[in-house]
Amino acid sequence: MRGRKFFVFLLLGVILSLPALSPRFRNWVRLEVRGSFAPVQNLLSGGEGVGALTESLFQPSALIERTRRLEEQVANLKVELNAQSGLAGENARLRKELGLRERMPGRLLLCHVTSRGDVSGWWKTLTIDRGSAHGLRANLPVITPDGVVGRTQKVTAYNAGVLLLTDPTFRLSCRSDQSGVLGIVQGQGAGFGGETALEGNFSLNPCRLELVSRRIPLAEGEILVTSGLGGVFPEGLVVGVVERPKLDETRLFQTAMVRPAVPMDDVERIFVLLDLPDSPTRSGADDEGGTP
Amino acid sequence: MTWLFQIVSLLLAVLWELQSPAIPLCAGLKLPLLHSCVLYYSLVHRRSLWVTAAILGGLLHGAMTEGPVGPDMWLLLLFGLGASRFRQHLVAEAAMTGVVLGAIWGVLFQWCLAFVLLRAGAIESPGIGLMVVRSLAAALLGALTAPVVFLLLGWAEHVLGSRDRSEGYA
Repeated sequence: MRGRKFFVFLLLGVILSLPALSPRFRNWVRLEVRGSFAPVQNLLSGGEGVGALTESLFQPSALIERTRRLEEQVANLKVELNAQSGLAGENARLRKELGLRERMPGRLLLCHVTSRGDVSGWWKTLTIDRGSAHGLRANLPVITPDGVVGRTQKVTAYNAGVLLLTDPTFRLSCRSDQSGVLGIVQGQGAGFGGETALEGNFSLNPCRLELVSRRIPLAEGEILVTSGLGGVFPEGLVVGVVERPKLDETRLFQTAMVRPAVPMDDVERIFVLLDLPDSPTRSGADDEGGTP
Repeated sequence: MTWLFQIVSLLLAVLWELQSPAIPLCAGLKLPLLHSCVLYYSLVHRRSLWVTAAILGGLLHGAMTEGPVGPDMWLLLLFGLGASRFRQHLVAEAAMTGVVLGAIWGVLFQWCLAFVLLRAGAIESPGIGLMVVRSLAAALLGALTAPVVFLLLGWAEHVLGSRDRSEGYA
């Protein structure tokens, strides 16, 4: 009885002292807790669990693997086509001038969404069924054939969190596909499901474009693509569409609302861009300690 | 048995909460199943059990968010202490107790956690509009969830016989 009490108090002491310990240790605790839930979550989500199990009962495994590969291939082609068609005018000019050939860098890994949103509701996140065991690490681009979804963070062995484009802490360097003017897209924290009645009343929008030079006027409906300047995302991925452009309070810059290209509440299958050419920013950005 | 049931119920609660969808009309909040469990243990069980529930609940809650791990535990302990102080004056199994305390707990937790996260630099200033929406949503969800969780846990403990005879409410 005394031994059990001692153990309980020791455990309580360790846990209660958590806030005073180093962020690295706390992050380790978080990843261990999340990692222990990953198999059950994957099973419940039906992505790689129940769905795959049911599928495997009726289909030979080779067929499943082939389907998965084809899905990845189709997505690769769609992304490539999207990037090329979005940048067609500029690409033609660049090809002529510099002889560059536009192509999608890296490899795409198909992942299924296992849960949406964190339990506090403060962050706009997704959880996916792939982790460091499949080659994932923190700060990798997450996309669909339609455009940017977010970036990976808090990666455990068998699942990973994805910080969405709509999260207020997410910032992404973008440029207009038409005019080429640069700006920063920042999430505004609107919930899943887009602009609901409540969110609309409080003027919440999924994303906002900021710090755009006033010299080149923004137009409604312009398509925003990644600029490649941030170091995490390659150039040319579609981010969203410009809405309601105007001058900001300082009247030095333009600002606008952005409708993301990807409907965050509907997305089920997403792709993580792997094996991107390394850059100093990208390798330095992996500060979450996410890779066990 | 009581300890085992407590741990299992908390794990199931967090798992269910994770898998449940965020509700757009409620500012992206989810059903507060984990908090309702901790509230139940604070009202019904002896100190060692509700303290463990608060710490384990806080650890799970903190680990499943993007914020720092730790503040949730302190908040749940504080709230648990508050709830346990009033247990002698309440009929814990009454639905109205769950409705009122669930709502109050939800609102207080929203504000306290927002304050802590803001101080830690984990979130940006949410603005009064969003906080009002979140408070209303947390109150509504807490009031809806807590009575159901109380009912389920009470029934399960009764069936399993896992509640000590010395425990309960006045």
